[in-house]
Amino acid sequence: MEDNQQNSLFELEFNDEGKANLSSIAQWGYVNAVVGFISAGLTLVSAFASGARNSETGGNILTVFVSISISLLLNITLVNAAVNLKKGVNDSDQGYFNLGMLKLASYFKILGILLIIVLVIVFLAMLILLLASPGATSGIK
Amino acid sequence: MEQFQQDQLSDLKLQVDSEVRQHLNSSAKWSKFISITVFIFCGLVLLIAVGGSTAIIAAMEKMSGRNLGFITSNYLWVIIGTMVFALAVFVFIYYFLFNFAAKIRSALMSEDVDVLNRGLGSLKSYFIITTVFSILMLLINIYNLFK
Repeated sequence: MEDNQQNSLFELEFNDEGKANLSSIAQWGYVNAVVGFISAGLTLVSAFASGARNSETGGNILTVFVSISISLLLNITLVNAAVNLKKGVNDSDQGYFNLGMLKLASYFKILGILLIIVLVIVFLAMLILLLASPGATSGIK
Repeated sequence: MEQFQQDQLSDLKLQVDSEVRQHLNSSAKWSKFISITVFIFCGLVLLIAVGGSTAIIAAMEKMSGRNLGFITSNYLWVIIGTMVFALAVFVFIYYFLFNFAAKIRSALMSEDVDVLNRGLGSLKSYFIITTVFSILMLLINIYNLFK
């Protein structure tokens, strides 16, 4: 009993305001993910529509599939986070809540890793452009 | 007895236990990285746009062989103005994510529930703004597809 009291004294607890915020985060995260799914579907439709018109779209189709896969991965993680957070907050279920928090952390981790990949690609592209420019080679000579 | 159990269930509270603490810390760490990277990117684009504008005008004048002066510079300033507005919107959105990261870390260190709530409020604002922009982009894409 005393242990229990000590735990609640030294552990942070979400009050009503915190629960309302978490509920809103789950709700808007869910809407965000659904919009992301619709956007991915629309991208696929427009890619097939343009592919039917001109035949030289092999590279484009690959780009579209990569971007749709990334979008699906991100949005599925966000939906999982939103659904579990909502369940956890509504039923005061710590298990669902922890799972929701884990998925939310994974969502931000995936976003961060994607950003690092984009940064590396941009850096390499700039390096190649600098090395390929005629000024750079004459400077070395 | 049943009534007592129900009361106990309704009294159950969500706690920031060690697992949630770990997940919140991870979210805050990555959010901070993402927001700071976006701030740096926006700063660099702004520097290049403003610093390089005179060089762009000079290059255009050299290519056309005459003084383009007023028209070109006006056109360029419109482009730079639009770019600055877009960058300001980006910074505004990611400021909320940065705020979330900073406040959550501070709340976990100081065990302050008010700061924790403010951090969650910032994340809520971030999701609201990004969702609204996503819906706008979706509508623009739908319009372009059926145009």
